[in-house]
Amino acid sequence: MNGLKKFGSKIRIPALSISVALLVGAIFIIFTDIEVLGGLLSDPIGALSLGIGRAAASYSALFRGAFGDPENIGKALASNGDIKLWARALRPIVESVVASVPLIFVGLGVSVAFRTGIFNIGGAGQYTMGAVGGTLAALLFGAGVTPAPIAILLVMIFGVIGGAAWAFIPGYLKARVGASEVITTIMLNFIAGQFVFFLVSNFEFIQKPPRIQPVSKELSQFVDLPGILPISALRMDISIIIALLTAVAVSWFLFRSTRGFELRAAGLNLAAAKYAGIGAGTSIITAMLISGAISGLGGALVAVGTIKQLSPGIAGSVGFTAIAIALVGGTRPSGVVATALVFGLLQHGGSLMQVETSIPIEMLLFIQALVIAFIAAPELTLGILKNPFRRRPRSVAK
Amino acid sequence: MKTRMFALLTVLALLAAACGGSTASPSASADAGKADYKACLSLDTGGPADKNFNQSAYEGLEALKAEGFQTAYTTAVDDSSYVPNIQQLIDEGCNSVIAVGYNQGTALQAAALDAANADIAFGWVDATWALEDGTIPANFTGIDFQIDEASMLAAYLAAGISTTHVIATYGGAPYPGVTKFMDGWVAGAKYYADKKGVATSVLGWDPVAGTGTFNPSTAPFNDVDFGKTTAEAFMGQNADVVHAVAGTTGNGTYQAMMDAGKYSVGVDLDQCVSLPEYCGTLLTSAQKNIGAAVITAVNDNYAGKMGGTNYIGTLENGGVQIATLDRTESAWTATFGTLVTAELKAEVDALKAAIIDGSVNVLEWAKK
Repeated sequence: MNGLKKFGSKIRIPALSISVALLVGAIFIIFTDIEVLGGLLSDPIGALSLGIGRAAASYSALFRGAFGDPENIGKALASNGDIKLWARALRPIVESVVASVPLIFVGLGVSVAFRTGIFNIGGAGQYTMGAVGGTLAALLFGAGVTPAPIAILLVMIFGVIGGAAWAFIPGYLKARVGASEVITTIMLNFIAGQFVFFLVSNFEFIQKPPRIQPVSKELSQFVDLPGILPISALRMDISIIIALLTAVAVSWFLFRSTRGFELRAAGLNLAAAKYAGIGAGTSIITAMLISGAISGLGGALVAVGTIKQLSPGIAGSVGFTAIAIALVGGTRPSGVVATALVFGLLQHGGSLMQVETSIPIEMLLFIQALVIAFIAAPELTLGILKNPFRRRPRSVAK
Repeated sequence: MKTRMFALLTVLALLAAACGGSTASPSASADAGKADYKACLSLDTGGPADKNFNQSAYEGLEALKAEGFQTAYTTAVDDSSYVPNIQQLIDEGCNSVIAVGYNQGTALQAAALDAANADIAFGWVDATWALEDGTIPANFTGIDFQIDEASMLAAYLAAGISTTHVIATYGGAPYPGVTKFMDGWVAGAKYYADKKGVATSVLGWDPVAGTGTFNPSTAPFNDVDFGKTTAEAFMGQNADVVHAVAGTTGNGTYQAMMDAGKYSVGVDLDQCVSLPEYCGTLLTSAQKNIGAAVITAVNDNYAGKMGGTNYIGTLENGGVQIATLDRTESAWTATFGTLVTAELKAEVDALKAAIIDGSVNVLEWAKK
């Protein structure tokens, strides 16, 4: 019971934030609907009920897109094992999890740096360089050059090396000459993207024939990550398992190992940590290496397994979303994994919302941003929900 | 605590109501069959209101909806969206799935070749595709544009109003759909020089060597600053008309050219209409009628022609054109009213006729 209470108090703020964000999002859906606005003066009740119906339909689509349509699940259950029906029924939840995999990796990566007091904004760059490493490993060792398990292992190792090497640069600069990691990591993000552009548009070994588009060859021809579901049409591969194992490892490292304790001590108070005999420079470089290695591992697995191609925009918005996820998840591995899953659900659910209701995908980014804003301001969130409809005295509850 | 629970319950109730609701039935239509046919677009990252490429396709989809078809679309967030978005449309029962933009190729080709999707018609805007043996899959329609024909006309016009006799072009990225514009641009300048005996040089693209000015950024088509600095660099080399083939990046070029009192040529759609603030610098636009092509493709699919062909928009079939020169917008007439003479218009019309009847070959002129 006590454990449950503790768990409840931990997820209280995130859960409330998500609920409030969805509520505010619903209000926006209602009041940005041109038909609702048009009818608001002549027939306010009719217009509002139309708007509420629209918002309900949108969220219905969002949730069916994220978790699965009960109707399809029912059909699959009744079908006596029709693979096509099962694939369709389970695809939403599977795709939501697939969408969360890069977020888990980069979220974990930047969390390690944050815990050490380093604001590593370079998740995108380290992820990209990990993808470069993984792609090169796949091209060099895949397609039968080495046995498949070894090729996959090499993809992961190259990804780790690529990400760690990219993170080493700002770590070293910070530790040795005091360069602000915020600036160096952001700049290295751009360089990583340009580097991929250079690779995929100049080398026949990498670029997809007929060498017109700046993308790599299709990597599934070289290395295929094994799926973990019995239905091959569902593209969930071992990367989710590796992501979860990484989360466990990071958790152990941060909270159970001596090195992790040193890093956290450095993050809490660098001067005190120095006084206690913890090398500041070593802590910074170690934290950046681990941080980059995790993001890089994610980049390699996603590039080879999920996207199956290297392109300059491979990191997309992962880098920045992951920073938000790390903060929302309290830089705790369990929190990061849970938050990444929520964001994956929102992201994939959003595409069905757009298909069914034509509400632009930006609405989802809006809701995501609200979630982050509410979590960043816990007192505001609690204040709203404590007493949503009555004016209150100004003093804010502590 | 109680009120908090109440608020949570409200959310849950809203969700429960949502899950219970059924999707709206399509509006009644004269052609009942169309109401059962779902036409869908997988848009690239620009989305339905990018004032450009995706928007033209989306306008086609809106027209299809007005015809009575069911419609739906998705917008990509980044490169990883293509596969799930196309799959989402397939799962939602789309009969025609048209992907917009060159980048979606890998995802679209895989979906089209998947045996589970054999009864779905796929389309690809801005590219054609054939298997290694040269055949086009029976459920696939490539939609491409012989846009060099239109940009050749635009370049002829540009050469006709240029006082420095230097005109320039640049591309977002060296995709075939982009360089084709630039080929036509060079062809038009060379044709003008040949016809009029006025040496006209082109900056930014060499069709023989295949080299030119492109945006190396990772967002080559959404980079207004690059458009601005490139235009300024071209003006520094005396160019007075610039044709930007770079999506939203071009908006920076239009701004720079307008600030300098010089001219530009728009891309993909009639940008004097989509970007009225730049109408005073936009001589014309090399237009792809993407919306019309989407409408044609879906209607063909609906009539039972699943694919196996490529649709190529040309001057002849109206798939490409230059934006009208008989404009009434005051910003346009103030700049171009006297510059674009009736004589020049007649020459452009003659060139158009020559391209259609085959006596002028755009690519030959480009490489001359």
